[in-house]
Amino acid sequence: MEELRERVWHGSLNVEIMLSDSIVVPNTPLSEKCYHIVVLRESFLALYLPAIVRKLGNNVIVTYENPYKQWWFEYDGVPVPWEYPCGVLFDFLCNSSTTSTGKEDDQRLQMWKLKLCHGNKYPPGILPLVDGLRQVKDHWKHQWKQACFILNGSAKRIMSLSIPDFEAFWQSLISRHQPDYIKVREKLLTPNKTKHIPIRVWTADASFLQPSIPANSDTMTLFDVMTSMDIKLQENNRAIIQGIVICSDEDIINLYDLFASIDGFLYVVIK
Amino acid sequence: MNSGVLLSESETDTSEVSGRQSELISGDESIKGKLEEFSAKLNELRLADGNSDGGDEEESLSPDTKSQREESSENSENVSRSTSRPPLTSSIVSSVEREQLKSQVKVKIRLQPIGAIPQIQPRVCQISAHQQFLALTRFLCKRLKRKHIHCYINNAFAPSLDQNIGDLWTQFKVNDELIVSYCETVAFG
Repeated sequence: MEELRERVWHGSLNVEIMLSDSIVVPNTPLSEKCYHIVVLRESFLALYLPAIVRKLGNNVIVTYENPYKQWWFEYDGVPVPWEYPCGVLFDFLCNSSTTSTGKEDDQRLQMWKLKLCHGNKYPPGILPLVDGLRQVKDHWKHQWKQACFILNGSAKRIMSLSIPDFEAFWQSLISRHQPDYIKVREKLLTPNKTKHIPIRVWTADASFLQPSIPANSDTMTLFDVMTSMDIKLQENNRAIIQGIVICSDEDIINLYDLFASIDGFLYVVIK
Repeated sequence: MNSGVLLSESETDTSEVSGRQSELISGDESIKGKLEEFSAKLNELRLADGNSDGGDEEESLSPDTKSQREESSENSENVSRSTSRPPLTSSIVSSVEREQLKSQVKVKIRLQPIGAIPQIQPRVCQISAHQQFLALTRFLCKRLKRKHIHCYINNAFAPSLDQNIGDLWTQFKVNDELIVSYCETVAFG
């Protein structure tokens, strides 16, 4: 159990960041406009912006105020939101190799190829990141408040956290110190008294759903949850959590316990 | 604060549901465009009282009125047809119906001001359940003539702007109303 949690926490993605053609200085060699990094699945893309902009920012034709404002990523021409954990975005937008589990293809290095863009006008679908790290933190905090409300019927538990506890919670994401994260997270959960499960589902047709899943029933499986949402799991319509294809008879409370993301929600991608 | 993002003032497009459009645009805006948008927004929300029996299936006042009307007429046919069908077929039809109905259902929102910001009349509005929370934030900005507004649910948290209002209502409603508080500054940090 602990080992699994640790693996989820350390799960990573290989990402190639390329400067968008519209902002790159002409004739920049490939090595100067491309950056390869390992991004943690349980983190936010926006947290990597300063490092990326520091590396690639010398080769852009635009002037920029700071490494957050007016920057965004695109994958395959589609803007990538910053407010969801990286792993979920990757599973939803890209991950195709989960289909070939056990095959030789799996040995191939899987790379998430993102374009780094900059502009005064954000494309539709992107929440403007105007306030840098503070905005990321605020957003994350309110996601947790929402998750806490769903879990316990009120946001009391998170509101009554002391300031040092809350700061340690946020810092655990920055410094990647899992014990600190778990310590505070446990204060927000009440085992056996959970009211509802915070779960978000991204369906194949790109709808984003947040069903109300009561936790008081004896056992509720992933299959039950999907059935309640009129989603049929089959060969080409599978549930992916943390990059793994999940059996539909798994207990949803266990799944939440093991695989919930850093914003308090369990993300299920259907594809 | 996510719900306090700078919302576009120059958008004249009323079909905001189609995508998460939270660009930072500032600029001039023609009075005509403004009026059009305002009237569209007013159409979107309606008084909770008296209208609830009007039948959500027949009446749809959301931005994509035309297509929804088509759907609704189709939908009411399906309802009558499905009742006489054998169980297997009707279950398939009913899931399609449910989808269609879902897109037309309206939910009640109770709007509560925090601080010096004016109270919006009516206090309880109805909004299509399939809209994103962004639509409500935009409506409030326009109605209150503010550039930014901070919205909270149950005086506790700010939802993501792309969250579905129907899902929020189902999860956080109190007496069948989703309580949305709004404020000019950060109220629940």
